[in-house]
Amino acid sequence: MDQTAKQASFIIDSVTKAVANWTVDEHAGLNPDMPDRYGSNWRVDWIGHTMGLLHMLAQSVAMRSPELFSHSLRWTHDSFEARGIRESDLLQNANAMREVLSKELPPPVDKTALAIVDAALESLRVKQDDSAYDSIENSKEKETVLTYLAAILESNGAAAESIIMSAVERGVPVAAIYENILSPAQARLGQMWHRGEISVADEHFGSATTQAVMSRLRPHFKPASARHKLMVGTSTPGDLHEIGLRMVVDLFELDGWNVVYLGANTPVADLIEFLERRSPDLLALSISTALMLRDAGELIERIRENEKIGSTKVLIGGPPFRFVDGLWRQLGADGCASSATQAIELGNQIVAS
Amino acid sequence: MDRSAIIYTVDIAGPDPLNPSGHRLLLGQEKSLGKTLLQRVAAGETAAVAACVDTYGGLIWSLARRFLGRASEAEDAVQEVFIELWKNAQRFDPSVGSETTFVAMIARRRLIDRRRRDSRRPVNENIEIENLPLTAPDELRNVEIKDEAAQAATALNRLKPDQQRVLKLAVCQGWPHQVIADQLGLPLGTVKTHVRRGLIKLREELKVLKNESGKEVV
Repeated sequence: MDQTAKQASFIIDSVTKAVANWTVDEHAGLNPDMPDRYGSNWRVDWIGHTMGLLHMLAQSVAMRSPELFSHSLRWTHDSFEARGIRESDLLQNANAMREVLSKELPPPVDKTALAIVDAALESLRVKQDDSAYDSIENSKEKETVLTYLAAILESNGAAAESIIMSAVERGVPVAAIYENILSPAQARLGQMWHRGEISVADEHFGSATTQAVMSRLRPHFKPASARHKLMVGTSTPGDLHEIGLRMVVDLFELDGWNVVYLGANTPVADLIEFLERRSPDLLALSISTALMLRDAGELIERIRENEKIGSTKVLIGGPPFRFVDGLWRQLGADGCASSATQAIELGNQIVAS
Repeated sequence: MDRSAIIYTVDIAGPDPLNPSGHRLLLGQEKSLGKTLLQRVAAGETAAVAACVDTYGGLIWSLARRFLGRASEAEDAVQEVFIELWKNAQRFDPSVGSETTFVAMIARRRLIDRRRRDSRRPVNENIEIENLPLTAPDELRNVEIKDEAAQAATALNRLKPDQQRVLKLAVCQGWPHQVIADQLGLPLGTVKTHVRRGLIKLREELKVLKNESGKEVV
């Protein structure tokens, strides 16, 4: 990673609360009716929103990626729209943040940050293509995904499990269940939460059910012949998303790899020590949000600087890499997979190279 | 219009606005050149930002707490001070004074600004619980506190002037020993000695006063 950009990113992260406070002061100055429109907690809520944007801006600066922040602002825009929050408030808040940054950031940092904010504001003016890739529509098990989702939305975990076990009985392989049923269902739950159609509780129930179903599938694992290769799967500290990572690790196991699933949120020092002790052929690193990118880059730097494990192949994957091309190269990884099945193919290629 | 086309019209090519000269020391080289934290920040060293926050966060917090009172305001003010530090890091000259003094000076200036700004605003926030008395006002206890405070002031006045000055800064103002040394132009060891001996002497004086008034010294 570029050390100068990374320092600018740390500087932004170190002052998010102060910048957010001033931003909300400016924003509220233009809108004295904010307490009426957003309730007694309006200030805390808007400071929290602004701090979130600033942390994302810090990541965009670290990666020198205007597209990263544009995507984040677009994502927030859609989420606000779904919840009835005025677009004018989002734009006024972002513009107020821009003003504060231009006044308060030290000169070398402000130009890069402002260029990124300007690009994001400009991108909001362009109508987006809403016909995004629909993973359910394109699934080979479309009907099963929909019935599984319906069971989850009715909070009926037993029915959801039963639907998956029926698929096993009709001969659908575990890998196909992951790829064609569970992944599209999880993606749709995430979309529904983003659009305000389901609550956090509904989304949590869905994730817990999917994890339970995955555990029930283990007795049906039929691994390919042993490859005598070891892979370790984990995520960066602070990243709590586990399902995608666990699917990748399980599919490596089905492909004949020896696997170690460390779960999410592994402390860096413990991970380094573990890698030194086990010397895996491949580390699969899951990065579920762009807020983890800088930490992921630092982790890979530490691995590369370590004499014992510096040559470990690192495969990364996660949502941020789907909307910004080439980001994974900046982090120093050896490859980036866009799906669990692609991860297996790529992992074998990387290790063989 | 294609969204990606707009995004890539941002000019991030050409001279790097974060580093116009293109000059950059490798990580670790700065340390070997004996630079201070702020000089390392000004030189673009990544780790120096976090190190600076770790090193001076406590000092700035204690100054903010003393200037502003409320913990929530102090917390916000600490970040405001760091903004000033990042802006002024290149101005720091170790031949003029120590880095700690420079940081304290920047903090003090920003905190005074903030206090002036806040005093012009109407106060409409809730009073924090930490500033509320735990019990109802007790006139007798107030009298005792005033009496003890008067005794402490009397005892302090019996110390040597240098000891008094150092103790007031260390105990009453909460300044770190290094800042006191820098501000008063005293060696750090002398400051520490003044604090230690001053506290011993203060305790002795309070015992004397207790005997004179017949009250116990805690």
